[in-house]
Amino acid sequence: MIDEMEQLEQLCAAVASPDRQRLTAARAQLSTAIRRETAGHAARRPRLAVSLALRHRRPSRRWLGWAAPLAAAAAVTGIILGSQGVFSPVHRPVPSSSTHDPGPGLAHPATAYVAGQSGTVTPILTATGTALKPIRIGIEYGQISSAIVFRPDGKTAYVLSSTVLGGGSGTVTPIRTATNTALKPIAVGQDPRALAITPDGTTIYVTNYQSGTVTPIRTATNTALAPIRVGGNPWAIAIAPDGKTAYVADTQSGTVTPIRTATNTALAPIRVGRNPLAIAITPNGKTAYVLNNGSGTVTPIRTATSTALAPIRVPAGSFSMAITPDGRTIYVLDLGSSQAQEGMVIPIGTATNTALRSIPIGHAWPSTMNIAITPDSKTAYVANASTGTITPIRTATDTALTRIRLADGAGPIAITPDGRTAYVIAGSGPGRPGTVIPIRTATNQVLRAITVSNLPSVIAITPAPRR
Amino acid sequence: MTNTGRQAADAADADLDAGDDAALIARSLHAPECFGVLFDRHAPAIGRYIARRLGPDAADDLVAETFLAAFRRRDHYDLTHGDARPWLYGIATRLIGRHRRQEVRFFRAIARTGVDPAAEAVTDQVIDRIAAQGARRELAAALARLSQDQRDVLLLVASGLGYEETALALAVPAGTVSSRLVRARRKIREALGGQDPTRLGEDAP
Repeated sequence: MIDEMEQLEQLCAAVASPDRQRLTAARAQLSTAIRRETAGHAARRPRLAVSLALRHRRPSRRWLGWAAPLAAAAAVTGIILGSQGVFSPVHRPVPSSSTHDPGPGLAHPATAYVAGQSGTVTPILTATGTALKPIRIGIEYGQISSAIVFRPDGKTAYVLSSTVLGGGSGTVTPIRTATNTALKPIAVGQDPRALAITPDGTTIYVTNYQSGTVTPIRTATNTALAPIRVGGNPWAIAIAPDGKTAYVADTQSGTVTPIRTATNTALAPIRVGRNPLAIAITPNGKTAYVLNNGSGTVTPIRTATSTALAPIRVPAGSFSMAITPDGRTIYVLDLGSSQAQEGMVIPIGTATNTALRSIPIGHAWPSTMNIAITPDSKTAYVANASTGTITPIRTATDTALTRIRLADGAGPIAITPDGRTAYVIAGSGPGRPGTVIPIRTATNQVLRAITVSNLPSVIAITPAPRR
Repeated sequence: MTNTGRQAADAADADLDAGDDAALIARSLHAPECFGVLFDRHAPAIGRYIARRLGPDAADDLVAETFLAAFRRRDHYDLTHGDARPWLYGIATRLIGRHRRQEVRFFRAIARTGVDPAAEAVTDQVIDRIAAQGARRELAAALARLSQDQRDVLLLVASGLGYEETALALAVPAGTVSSRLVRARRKIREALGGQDPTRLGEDAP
């Protein structure tokens, strides 16, 4: 005789799976709803978005946006996907409100590198605002490039790529910037998430989320060394300015593990808070700040003694932060957890370790926000993907200046070493290339859009040559 | 037994994209487009759970609603939980709670007619199916009489969540799950008259 629990289990198990059509419809419904909320500017034409998606039901690489890599998986898992992107706003040609004229004073040798899901990296000459031929970086279809670092001399860019689905091993592809040629990808661990380079440029450290390890890469030979065990699910990483210690945050245990770079050994973990998602170290190297998304705190760590100081309260759910180059202020990003709240930037004064008055940047929930700070520390640019706006913040007073409206969304930002231009990844719709929008920081004027490979997700600019 | 086969297939599918949910959710903070993967992973199971409680038609809408609600709360997801199922089941359960009367009507209808719109149309184990038919009516009748809290616990556990996961889903202590479960099981047992339902089924085809 079987008991009542087993009968109930049978009752629940004997439920027919939702059929593919219904699932596809639900997925499409979700995609439309998410897109409506994540790309405010696209909301004006939701009907068009739907009809486009319906017309192009057949998954194709060109059309799928983020769903494209999933289609590959769907072929295996037998799930049919709605052919709609989430972040991808409806196509609208970017109006060139001004012609891009860098002017004689604006020329500098920096190159911006833009990567994402296209399997290529697009270099942009910042002196002229022109995109060069995309570089194939030897990653597979279904992978996403999520981070880029440079050697301090700017001669090599390192592009981190992993699978969009999560899981699986990842790679770091070196790119020689003089010739814009990709070298052989370097295999790292399972599901790599972040990377950092020592100030002397000799070693790159890559966190492997699924492996619970950190892979060092020797840049002289572009070879991976033996992975360092840190345990859990390491994500954020930052290296002290003296290059002696790398700090790795484990989202699983809520700890930060220092790694001695001379010997590549992990030291005793430091307890911080729940879900540590970001680390920022002051330029003097004295304090490492850890943002704990789950606890709603920022934990300062005194690096000399590896001790955690009293946590600073920020809104729970805060997910990202940046420190000014002068080290005076940390800016924490919070989406605001309901439609009623605006996205917030919370400044933390590092002199006193106190949170200052939050700066609202408009409704960001439930999309995402990005931040970049000018090299002179005077202005922080905060992108709100929901509204497609950039809010410049004057750091001296922590006041928001007039928002800059972009026609096609506002994603990750990078600023040239001379501080003159901010480059913002704009939306990338299905079946069309991505765009990067330059903004002249002196006037906050929007310059002409630059076309890059489709579905860009990361932008980084070569460092200024050291004198 | 066909269910075991399907569960095995689900498990195999899950292995193919073994990245954990927490990673995906955290990544979706910066790249919202990644959130869609969570749907592909869990929508079939969540859909079956909702269909079990409200019928297949209601399930379609509520699946999309569940994931949208999840998307909106993704910055509050506890990343120490690699498996997002308890979180998603919890959200689905709260949405189901808004349709309490519909659920009771649904179970009563099954009890009355013996027809279960959520059930698989065809199974290769014909005898099992017939045997289950009678038991299903009794079970449905008993489920309709439970309190919402008890139904939540019982059907989450019966759907494959452990006590800890169920506690997580309902945001109650594990002890509360146990006590609710004991009471709910007793009610069901009493309703079934302590008889072997497979035999009962033979009497009531």
